[in-house]
Amino acid sequence: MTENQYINVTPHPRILGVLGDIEFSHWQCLAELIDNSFDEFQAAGGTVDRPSVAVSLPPANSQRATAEIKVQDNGRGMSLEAVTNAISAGWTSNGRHGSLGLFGMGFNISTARLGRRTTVRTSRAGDLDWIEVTLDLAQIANSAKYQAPYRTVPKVNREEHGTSVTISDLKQEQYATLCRPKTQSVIREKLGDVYSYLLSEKGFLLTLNGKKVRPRLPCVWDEKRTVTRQGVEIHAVQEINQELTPKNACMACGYWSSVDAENCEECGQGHLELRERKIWGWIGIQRYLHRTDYGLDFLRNGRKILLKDKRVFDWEDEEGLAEPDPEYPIDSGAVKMGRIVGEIHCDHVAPNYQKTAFEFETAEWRQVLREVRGTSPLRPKIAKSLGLPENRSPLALLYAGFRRQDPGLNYLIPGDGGKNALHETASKWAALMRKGVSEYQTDEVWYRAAYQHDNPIAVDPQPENDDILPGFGAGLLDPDDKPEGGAAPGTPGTSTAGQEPPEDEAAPAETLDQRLQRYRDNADPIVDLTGPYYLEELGRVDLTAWAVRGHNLVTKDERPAPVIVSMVRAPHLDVFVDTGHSLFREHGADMRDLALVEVAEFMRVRANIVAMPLSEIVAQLKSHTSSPRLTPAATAEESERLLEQVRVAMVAPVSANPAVHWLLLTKDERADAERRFAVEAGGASPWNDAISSGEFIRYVPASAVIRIIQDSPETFLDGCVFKRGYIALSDPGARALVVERLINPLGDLALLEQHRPRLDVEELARIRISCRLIARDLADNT
Amino acid sequence: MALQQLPAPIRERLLIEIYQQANDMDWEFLSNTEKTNQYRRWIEDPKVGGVLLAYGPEKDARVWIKDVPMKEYARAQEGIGNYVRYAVNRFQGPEEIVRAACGSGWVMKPDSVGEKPNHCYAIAGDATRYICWGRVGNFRDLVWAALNEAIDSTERPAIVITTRNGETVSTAEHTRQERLALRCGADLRHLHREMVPNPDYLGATGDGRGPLQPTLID
Repeated sequence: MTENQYINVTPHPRILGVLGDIEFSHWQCLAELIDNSFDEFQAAGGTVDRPSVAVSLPPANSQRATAEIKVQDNGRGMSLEAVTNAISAGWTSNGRHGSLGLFGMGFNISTARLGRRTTVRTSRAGDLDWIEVTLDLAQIANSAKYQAPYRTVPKVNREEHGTSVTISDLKQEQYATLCRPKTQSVIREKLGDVYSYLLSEKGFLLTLNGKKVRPRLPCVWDEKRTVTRQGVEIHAVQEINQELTPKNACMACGYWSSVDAENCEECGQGHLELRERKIWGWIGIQRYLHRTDYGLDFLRNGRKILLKDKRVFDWEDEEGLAEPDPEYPIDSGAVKMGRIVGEIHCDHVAPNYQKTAFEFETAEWRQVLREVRGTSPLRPKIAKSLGLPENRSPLALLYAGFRRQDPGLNYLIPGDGGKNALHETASKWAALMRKGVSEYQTDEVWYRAAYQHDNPIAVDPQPENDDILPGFGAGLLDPDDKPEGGAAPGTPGTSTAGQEPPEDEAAPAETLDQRLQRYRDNADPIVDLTGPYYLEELGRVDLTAWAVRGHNLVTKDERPAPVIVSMVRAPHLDVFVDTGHSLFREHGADMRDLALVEVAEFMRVRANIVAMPLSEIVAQLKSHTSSPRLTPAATAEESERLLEQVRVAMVAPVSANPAVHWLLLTKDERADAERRFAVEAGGASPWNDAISSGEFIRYVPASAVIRIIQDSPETFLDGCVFKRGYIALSDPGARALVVERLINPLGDLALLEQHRPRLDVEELARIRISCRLIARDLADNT
Repeated sequence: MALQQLPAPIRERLLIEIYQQANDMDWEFLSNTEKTNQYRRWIEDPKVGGVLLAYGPEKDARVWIKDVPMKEYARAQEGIGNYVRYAVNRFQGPEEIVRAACGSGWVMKPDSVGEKPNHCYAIAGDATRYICWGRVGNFRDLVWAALNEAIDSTERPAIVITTRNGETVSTAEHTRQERLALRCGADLRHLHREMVPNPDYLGATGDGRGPLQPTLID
């Protein structure tokens, strides 16, 4: 028997070059090097004046032979001993928890992926020389030894400090892609996203080819914005701040052992370090919805490891046997759009070596998920049906508050004041916010649009003179009222149409700017018309539309008009509409259309192409607006959405006495309902339960919904499902009329939901009005 | 220019505000588009455009911001010109350049600083040397200035190419510049500088970087 004989398992030096075959995208390679610098800044803890990293990529006109990639920082720099340790750290992989942070495997992988020669140059303040180490992969492979030559270079300025990594002898393919300007701007954007926290919160400076990398900042509602669900106020941003017990990090295998462990509980080795651990950050509601641009960012040491991650929205049972069940977004019709976003810091959770994921099978990661999303399903009914406790996690709270996407303040969704959500407009505003346009930095613009949805811009109602006597005006009861002065004292802008307030007449000549400002001061923006318009031949305008109340409009030349336009600064155009003008109030003209006519005329005259038909320009402008289309599909979708709201609101009153309502259904309707239940309910609870709980009403055909309402209006009116008063009426005829006025428009909605008939424009218009009437009449059912 | 009648206190307040903002946004690292956007934003900013527009039309206000404060911004950061006291941070000044170009034993000749390109003279005993400095983009101007000096002087002129945090020069460029300078009979140095809080700063920063300016408080 022989002992103490060894086989040398040192890998061949060629391994360094082979590391470059690992799939790493360009930005990832750079990020590995940037990470080293940022780690160093954080370790230095504010001793470096302005932590800066300059990345340079070869310009488009460079030659591959001399082209190089450089990442240079102004960190503290390294001594010869430190740089020796740092560089060999990647080869021996000591320190799993990155206290060294510097030059791990990532350094070797990314430098080898980009080129064949890497030069590290470093020096500390006060040192006389730079230390310059060269890792030439070809040379190392040929010499069969892990050896890298270094030299010292005298410094011009002894106080200079920092480290630079230069990669040269670039690989052909990498070089060809990297020197494209397009690639460079894509990388800049990506880095701005990955490092947004460090760039915006820590003041780090990152440049790429001399241009600043801008942090991609979240576009979320202010935390002061709230919605109310079941009496609970839910803020649009939820803070997460969970201190965890400190644990012993194993520097050999990465496992977290308990505080009192002396050796690693996983691998048995003794190199443990006690570390504080914390899960912190926020989750919140983005100001716009998007098909992919939502989800949570998870960060480690300030760098995003997971971007826009959506796995927090999946529910998995304890055993993890079933497929993860996506819970959000689920209510958004055919195209799923979401808006829950967030930034969660979990420095203690180990990422994979590519830093594209965490070790998901660890207790640490599961704890992060628990903190953010809880363990039960987000959907309360599903949780209940599975016998699980109600989920009260921050995510469940946001889910309860902002799951739906109905326009208006109730869900914080910008709307057009008609019946549509302005998803696209909200996204465009976000782009402006990210470009730095000042008025989009707060959520005010979005909020106004959500508010306006609930308080739509419409033609001013008739003066309420029919309450007293026609012709006497509302001032009949006010003894101080002067016959010709309609304005209340102190409110100069509230005269009735046709009567300019005396203050304005008496005032010294008002300048045009002052006049326009007066209009704006007494106006609400019409958000669905507002925005940029670009027409091929006529150029561009950035339109702001204003619905002016109580002020007669006059043009620049003092001519009265129901609609006027004014360009104060190109390409910004204001269009003002006098909502009290008889053209709208008495003749029923559409104020949005008329506004666009004036805009069209302005553009036509500006471009001096008066031969272009005005109506054609209006048509083109109209196609740019976000105002709802009068198409069968759009109207049908709106009808379905409203009927769904009606049904959901009916569940509670029906549940008080489900059998009575169930008996009203025909055999066919019951079968229909059961079929719909089978398709939509997901099979979590049995159909019998739905019948006995009243839940069945959500699945019955629209015609049956109407019959049930007709049968017992006292159950559903008076603010229960509909606002309309019923009980207080004593006359049976009056009661019948109230029900009739509700059932008629509902019938329109039902027709469209059930039959999809061929409809002409006038019928569609009627149905759209029916939708508005129903929406107006729906009691707040949340 | 119509805006020259700006009252002195208002002019000062504007300069402090614009320079403060330029410092916060790292003006020197913005792309041209970003700079153009910023000029527009300044016009819309109540603290800048809101004040300026009271003294002239928008077009003049924009030209003023561009041609007066921002034209001087880079020089102010060098510690040169009439706007130095508005710069929040700046470089140490020509002495640092002299040290880098000639080493110890040389000092800056008093009142020898000039512009276009930035330059000064260094003296040691009887010897006088011309030194010019600037960013990589100005290399051509630096070479031309050094060449003209070399013809008139017996001492070797020196060129200092300066970089700041966030800026770097590639090895290939570096080598090329050195060869060019050698051919022209000039010394060449690359100097990386850090900014320091401006000791002459006039604005109120509240963090000890400068004296409080009572006129600034609204």
